[in-house]
Amino acid sequence: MRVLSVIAMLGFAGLVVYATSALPLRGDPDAPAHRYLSPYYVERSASEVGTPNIVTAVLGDYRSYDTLGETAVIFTAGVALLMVLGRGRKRD
Amino acid sequence: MTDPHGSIIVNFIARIMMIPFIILYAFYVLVHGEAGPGGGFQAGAVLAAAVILSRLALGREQRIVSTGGLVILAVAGLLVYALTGVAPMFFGGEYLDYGRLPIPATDGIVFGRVTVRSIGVFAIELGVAMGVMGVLGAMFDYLTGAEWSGSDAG
Repeated sequence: MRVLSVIAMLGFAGLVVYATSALPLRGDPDAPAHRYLSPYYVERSASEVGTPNIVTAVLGDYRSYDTLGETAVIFTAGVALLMVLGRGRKRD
Repeated sequence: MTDPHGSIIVNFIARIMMIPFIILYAFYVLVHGEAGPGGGFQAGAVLAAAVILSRLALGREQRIVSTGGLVILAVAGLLVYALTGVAPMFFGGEYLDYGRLPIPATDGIVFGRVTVRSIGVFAIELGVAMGVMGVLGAMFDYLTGAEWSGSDAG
């Protein structure tokens, strides 16, 4: 069982490393994200959102669902820790 | 760890100088997130630093928020975010569509060029800051065991 899980982990690690080779290079100006998405944000965020900070516009408006999920992740981690550490304690 | 430090210098510096300044700076980071580096997560972490400093230096009698208050803050933060998303749905928008928030005619009128959308962004940043502050502070209390010898029914 242990051997199987190690083999499975190595297999997935190899898959991830193999998939990494298909990613665009860092800072590559021809990467899809830099050809379509970045110019869109730079050009339109000021008129569409109105915040001068493009990072905040992307984080808070264009990808608001993502930020909601991040907040939920932090909240869930905190609640899980509170439940584990608070278990068995008597509260008056 | 949760008893007062006992030194009048530590107490004075923490209570009079450091904690108010840290809280003020956290609100600067939060508000400034609209225009520069900063935002909800960072402001929440800085606020949590003030909370933890108040516990380390001042003890449980003079700390600024109770454990229960921190948990309520964490829940309220996530609720502020989610409800800011729900509110536009009652005014013809979609979830998290801040442009439909029921704030009358602030586009370019109040505070120079503040739009309704950026007010919505600020509301969710506030929620994120509350959530991060509450979670980090409550985690500190539970990890140090400070929440269960409670004088504040915590």
